Amino acid sequence: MIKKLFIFSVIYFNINLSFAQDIYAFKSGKVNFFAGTPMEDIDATNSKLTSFINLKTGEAVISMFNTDFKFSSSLMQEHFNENYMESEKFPKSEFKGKIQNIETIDLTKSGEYKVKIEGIFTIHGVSKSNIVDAIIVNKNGKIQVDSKFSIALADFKIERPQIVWEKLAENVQITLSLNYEAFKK
Amino acid sequence: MRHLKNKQLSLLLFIIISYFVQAQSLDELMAASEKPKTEYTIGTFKGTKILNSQSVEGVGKGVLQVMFQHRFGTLFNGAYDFFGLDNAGIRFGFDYGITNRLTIGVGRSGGGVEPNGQKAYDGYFKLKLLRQSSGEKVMPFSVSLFASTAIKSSNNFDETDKLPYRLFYTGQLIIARKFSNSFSAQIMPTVVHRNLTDTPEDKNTIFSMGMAARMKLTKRFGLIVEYYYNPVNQQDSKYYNHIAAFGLEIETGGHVYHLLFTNGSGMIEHQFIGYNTFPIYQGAQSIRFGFNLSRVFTLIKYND
Repeated sequence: MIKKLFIFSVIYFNINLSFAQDIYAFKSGKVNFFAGTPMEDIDATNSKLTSFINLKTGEAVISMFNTDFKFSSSLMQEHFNENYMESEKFPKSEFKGKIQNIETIDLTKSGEYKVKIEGIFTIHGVSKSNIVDAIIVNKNGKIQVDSKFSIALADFKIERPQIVWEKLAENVQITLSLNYEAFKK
Repeated sequence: MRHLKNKQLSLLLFIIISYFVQAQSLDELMAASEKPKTEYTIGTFKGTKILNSQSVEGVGKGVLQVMFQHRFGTLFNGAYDFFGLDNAGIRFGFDYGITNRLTIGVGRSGGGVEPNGQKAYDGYFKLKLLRQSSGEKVMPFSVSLFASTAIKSSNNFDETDKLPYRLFYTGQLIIARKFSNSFSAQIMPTVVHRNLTDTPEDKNTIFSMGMAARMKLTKRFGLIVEYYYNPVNQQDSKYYNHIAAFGLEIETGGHVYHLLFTNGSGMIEHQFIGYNTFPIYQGAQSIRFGFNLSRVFTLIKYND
């Protein structure tokens, strides 16, 4: 019985271990957005995200609080949360997706991979699927994900009133540069 | 038998533990790594002023606010005075955020009718003591401390022109709560001290209780009411009328406008609380139109 248990546990932990090794957790980096016009710069950075990526299955999740976006102007930050994102009602922005054609590449090996990630963005309480380009670099077990894409405010029912002085662009440029390390419990 | 039971139990325990070790779907990981967060309430009121009095809000760090306020003549003379617009009193002020909690400001008021005709200079600070928050740290109220000093520069050409007689002080605790996205309210226990009163019966230090509420109509428009209750027997009632105000708050990203009706001409605390000569029951003889207009400029940008 003891022997069986031992064998069983070795197999079990190995399965778990190998599975856990494929999961990488966000360590550092930032998400930046730019919604400015020639008239005015409106940009902000969030570096307090929660994110995981599974190198085997290609699944990726990112979640962040809207109130963690830092603006250079405190007033813009207030308007961003109060008027546009309605952060009290919708505190988080999220992404949940999967790398396309993950079967054809092996992200666990060092190298640079150009990938397309298909997934669902949830912003301002509205979910919408989208495909974004990203570059994933595996440098001796350290993973870096870089991506640049734009989203339309109208897709997420974010109001762009015409009377305000801050003129928001129709499309917001999102740039992210995220570093991951193997997830340890 | 007992031995076997123990084994079975340990196996069961092991499977249970293994199950938890295995809990590795990304969704579960996300849920598990969620850190508790404190969300501070923003925009209890849009402006640093309610209508007449101060709101719980300050301006942000590094932000300069320029504010113009007008209180016109009473509506009583109708079209002859263009509904009061012929008798405009003005205050203009500058407010600056030293930190996100501390705002300082200066202002000059004059013109129109008493008490605004005092040609007063005022300076103040407003310190956020508590911030309403939810999440990890729960705080049901925001509390700000407001203190101002005003100096009257108009002359009487007598003994009362000496400096000490020109000074007025106000201290106020502002307790506010944003009940929902559309409803905010605050109360303002207030102390006003004058070195010189109008009659010997008047007390130099008087108390008043202010209250205000806002109901938002849309994201950018809100209705505001404001009222100060003055406990009786503190001074001659002629100069001590309760002041009420009713108005509209409009925010357009950088600008805040208040369009209002009120029964006083003063725009600084010791004028509309301790020296309001217009009783509200006189209707059109007391009530006047006014507005506040503010524009903010970000002077120093912070990237922290």
